[in-house]
Amino acid sequence: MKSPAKISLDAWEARRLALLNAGLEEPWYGGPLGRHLEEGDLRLQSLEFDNSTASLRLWNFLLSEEDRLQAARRQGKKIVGAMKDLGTVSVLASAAPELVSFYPDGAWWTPCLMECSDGLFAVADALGIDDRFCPVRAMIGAFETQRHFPIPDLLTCSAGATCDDFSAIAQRLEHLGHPILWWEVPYRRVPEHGEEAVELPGGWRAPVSQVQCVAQELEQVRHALEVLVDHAITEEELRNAIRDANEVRRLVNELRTLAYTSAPCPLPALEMLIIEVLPVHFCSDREECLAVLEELLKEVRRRVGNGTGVLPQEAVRIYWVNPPADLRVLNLLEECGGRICGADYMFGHARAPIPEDIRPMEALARLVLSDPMVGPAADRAAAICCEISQFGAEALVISRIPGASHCATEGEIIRHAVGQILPHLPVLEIEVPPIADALFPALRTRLQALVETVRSRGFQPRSRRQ
Amino acid sequence: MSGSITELRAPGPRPELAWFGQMIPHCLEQARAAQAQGKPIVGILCEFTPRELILAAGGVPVCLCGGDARTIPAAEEHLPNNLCPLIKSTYGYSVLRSNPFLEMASLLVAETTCDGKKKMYELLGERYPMHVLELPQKPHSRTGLAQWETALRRLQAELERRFEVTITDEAVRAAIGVMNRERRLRRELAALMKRDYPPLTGRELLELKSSISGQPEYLEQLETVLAALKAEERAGVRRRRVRVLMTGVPMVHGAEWVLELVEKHGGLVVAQENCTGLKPILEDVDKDAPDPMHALALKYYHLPCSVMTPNNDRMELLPRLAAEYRAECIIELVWQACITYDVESYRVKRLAEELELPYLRITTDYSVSDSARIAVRVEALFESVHHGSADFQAREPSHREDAP
Repeated sequence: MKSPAKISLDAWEARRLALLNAGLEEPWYGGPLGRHLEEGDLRLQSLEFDNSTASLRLWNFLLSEEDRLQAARRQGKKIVGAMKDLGTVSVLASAAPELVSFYPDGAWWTPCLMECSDGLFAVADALGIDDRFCPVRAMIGAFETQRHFPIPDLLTCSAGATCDDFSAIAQRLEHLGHPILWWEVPYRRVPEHGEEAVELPGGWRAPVSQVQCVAQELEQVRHALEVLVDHAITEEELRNAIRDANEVRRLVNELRTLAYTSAPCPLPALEMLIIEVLPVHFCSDREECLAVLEELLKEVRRRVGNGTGVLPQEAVRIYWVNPPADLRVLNLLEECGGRICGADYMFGHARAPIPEDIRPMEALARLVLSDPMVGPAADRAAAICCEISQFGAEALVISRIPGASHCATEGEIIRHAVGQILPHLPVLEIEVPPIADALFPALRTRLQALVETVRSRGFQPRSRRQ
Repeated sequence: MSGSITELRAPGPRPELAWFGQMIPHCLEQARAAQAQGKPIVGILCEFTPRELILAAGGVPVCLCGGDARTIPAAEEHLPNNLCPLIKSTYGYSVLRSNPFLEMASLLVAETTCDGKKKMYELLGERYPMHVLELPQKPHSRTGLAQWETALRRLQAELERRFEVTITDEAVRAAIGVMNRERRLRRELAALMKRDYPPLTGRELLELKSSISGQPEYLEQLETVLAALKAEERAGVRRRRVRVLMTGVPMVHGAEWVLELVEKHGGLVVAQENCTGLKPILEDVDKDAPDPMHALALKYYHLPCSVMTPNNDRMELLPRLAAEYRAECIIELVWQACITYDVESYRVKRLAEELELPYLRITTDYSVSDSARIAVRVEALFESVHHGSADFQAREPSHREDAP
């Protein structure tokens, strides 16, 4: 058994061959990571990967999603594109076996992975959605080129408390001939004194009237799904779907706790980011998603048990806010002496347990309202502070996404709010475009300065699980 | 840009408009007088807030949208620079403490519209008492309308609690009457622009909008002007200009320079579809509805703002206005970083093509630094109108100075 380490793509090629010779059995989507490079994912050659077979499976699972969707279509399944809901419609859709859902918004990472060789931004530019907008504009290019995912049989998208740029881009998509079922998400507010309210997954509270509103909206989505496959989704099927989704969430949460609290760090930031994304849409295959997570958890438990990890024991513990558009930046943080100890990648509600003791549609409605992006940034900041304390983070990085209307203002508010709750916590705000190569010298300097600041203050790396 | 109104006017300044030229001082005077009488000043930040509720609570609704470029640097100390100038200017006033209306306000009422505003309100709410109306954004949705009505009832409760008043249905109906009157007067004034020779410029019409709504003196002044202009069948004789339908972002007080520039370079803005123009005044509130709060919710929920998803109502309104006001072209103004209007402009452009109307999108901010470049584009647009209109030469000699 090799010691845990971060290795390059080339090193993975050799390691995989050795593993195969030693008897490694791969799932149908397995294979050399290098094949994804040949298919255009050029960024892979600049990244460093965890060297476990569990991580190899994770990467192959992630990068083979299009094949999975095409296979589902060939099998006669209907494909649902669940836009801008990050983990609700996918649960709803998984209640019907004839449906498979995916997350078209995920195309925002395609220009990064393909180092812009995909031309998605150019297509978006030509349609008037230029770089003043969030990189999620790549999604519109993916729909136009029809090269990154099959065109869904049904497209759903939330409206209302959705970020402006996404809403605007999705509207443009509809005008290009892709009909969208819109469903409303109100801006989450604090219940007034005496107003009937409920607790949401994750701990916030919302007025019952808002939950009811969302539940009604979701009923429309449910109805559309039922019509699409001519299958009335029963309450029992919904309960099962929620229970299975919760199992995915449970595994992710356990992985987070182990990865973010153990020293040395048992799994790199990049793999943890992918793990955190999985509950959003299960990468189009919930059963396989569970198997991937279980193998990862087994590996992480083994490493924690052995006291081994992929980073030095003294790595500075960083809490990271917002997903970086360029994945390479997470490698960079680790090169600079940091490690991720907690993250809010904007979809924290995708890992919050969905209530199983109430009506399924109400449970899903509560889940929608627990989205950190549909409420006050101060709520999000408080949750971030809570996790910073829970994971023992020593500094905070707020990673802005250029052009993202939500990020632009929220970063400042989060910084301000965190400063009030944790006044001595060093905070660094950076902006990460999809290809950040030109900024790496500056980013490196700033991240190094953050790490040095923490060290010079005399903070000692600490762990809840030494 | 100052002085451009008089440069446009053929016969000279209209004495009837003199009162409106001092609108802000008048508003300030009204606000101070109201405050002295114990009436609360309530700042509003968008057209979705029903002024009727504030009036019914005995308050004075004052629009606080910032139109001054000079407050923006102060705002950028807290806000990112890639935010629309309206948001930054509004917030900058709060940083500088330089908007007397804001400083007088006992309450600010805001709405969950665009991302920038929502987040700015969170910061503004740290320094001023703030109530945020929860605006659903899927138009024609029954659940959305119900949510909106709930939001208005929450505002009602907040006004009652904060100002220790009871807002009765009768008071709401009375306020609806006042606001319907104001909307009707402004609508009728705007309708004068349908004439072959409109009596006002677009800039002058814009000046007739007050920052404070429902004040008796303002309504009387509107009536006086309307009566005078209606009486002059041939009023406003002026050089033949290209009739422009202007759409897009609002042009709040102090931020009218693009409109001035359009009219200075050969245009006459006959219709303003935006929030400082026709959009909020086209519909009245049903004063006789059994439930006045429901009537308020219905009226205000239907504003075709670009934050709505999808915003098809705007695409239905624009052709109607273009036909009624006989627009010869469409100019769309987008403040920089106003994402929703920016993206929606693609649809407006396509609509203009369907209507066979020349279209120009102007993206700028409160600084006039790009005015020369914009002027060239505006002139080019007007030239294309002149050349493209086959019967233009026959109807109106292009060098004609004034109508008889």
